[in-house]
Amino acid sequence: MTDDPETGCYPSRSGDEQYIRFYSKNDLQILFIEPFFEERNFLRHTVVEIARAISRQGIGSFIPDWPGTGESPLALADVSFGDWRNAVRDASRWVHGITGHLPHIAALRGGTLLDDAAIGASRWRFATATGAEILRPMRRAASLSGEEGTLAGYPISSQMIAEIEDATPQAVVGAIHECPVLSQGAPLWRRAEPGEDHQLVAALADDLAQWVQACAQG
Amino acid sequence: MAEELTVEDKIRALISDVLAISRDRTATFNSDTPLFGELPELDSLAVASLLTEMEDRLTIYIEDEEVDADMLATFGTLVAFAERKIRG
Repeated sequence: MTDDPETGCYPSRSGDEQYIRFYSKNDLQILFIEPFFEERNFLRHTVVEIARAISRQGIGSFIPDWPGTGESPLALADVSFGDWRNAVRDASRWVHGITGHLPHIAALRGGTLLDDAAIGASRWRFATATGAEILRPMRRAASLSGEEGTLAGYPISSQMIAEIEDATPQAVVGAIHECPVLSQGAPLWRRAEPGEDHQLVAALADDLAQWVQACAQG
Repeated sequence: MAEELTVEDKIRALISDVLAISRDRTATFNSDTPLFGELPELDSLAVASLLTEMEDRLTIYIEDEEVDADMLATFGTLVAFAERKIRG
């Protein structure tokens, strides 16, 4: 076990995409589905710190990019929400293949709109949101700044916008846990600058670790 | 018994929380304190976040057509807008 993540690529049907991984050979493996767009930037640090914290308890994590995000070879403008759903499915299947264990799926904000596409041992959801709720502030920002062709700086295709607008977290078969932790003050994804909240990271990591351990004990 | 927070207090807290401006500084805001265009922290994405958080905390719904530079011009215009929305 190491405290530092490693990076690599997983094969998705639209091409290889990067992931970062906190390695553990334990049978508990988490696949994170991060929030979308600006919210992803605001919560990236939080997600990585949660993964780091649970790795100290021997729980492994994967934090993949989706097509058109992070280090992806594809441009965001060229991908659809369906491409993301396919990549989530491909990533979960791939984690199963290389670790020998079905990953537990940890989704935050917009990530909860994708977790039903994964093949997972269980699902953990934090701060669920509908697609419409995620797009609303982006649309507002775009209209305030007179932006055209992008949404809050993101070149999202009109098809993808329509797909996200209609997306809601789906009911799934199997174990699912809605994380009850609340952030103090304004949530991190609604602040003007990305921030850190060590208490929040610790609370989320505890909740997630307890959930997957309880699932494993069945 | 705790005193009920006024709309003005709630908006001061909101601005502090969303824009990471100290409570001491927002405590000095009066109705003439300029906001949009004057506060460097308040870019368009920050305005969008501020309005969304305001909707949650005050349980109001702000129509897109209601959002303009006048409503956000000063602390006073923003508070007046929120009070009007709460009265319905």
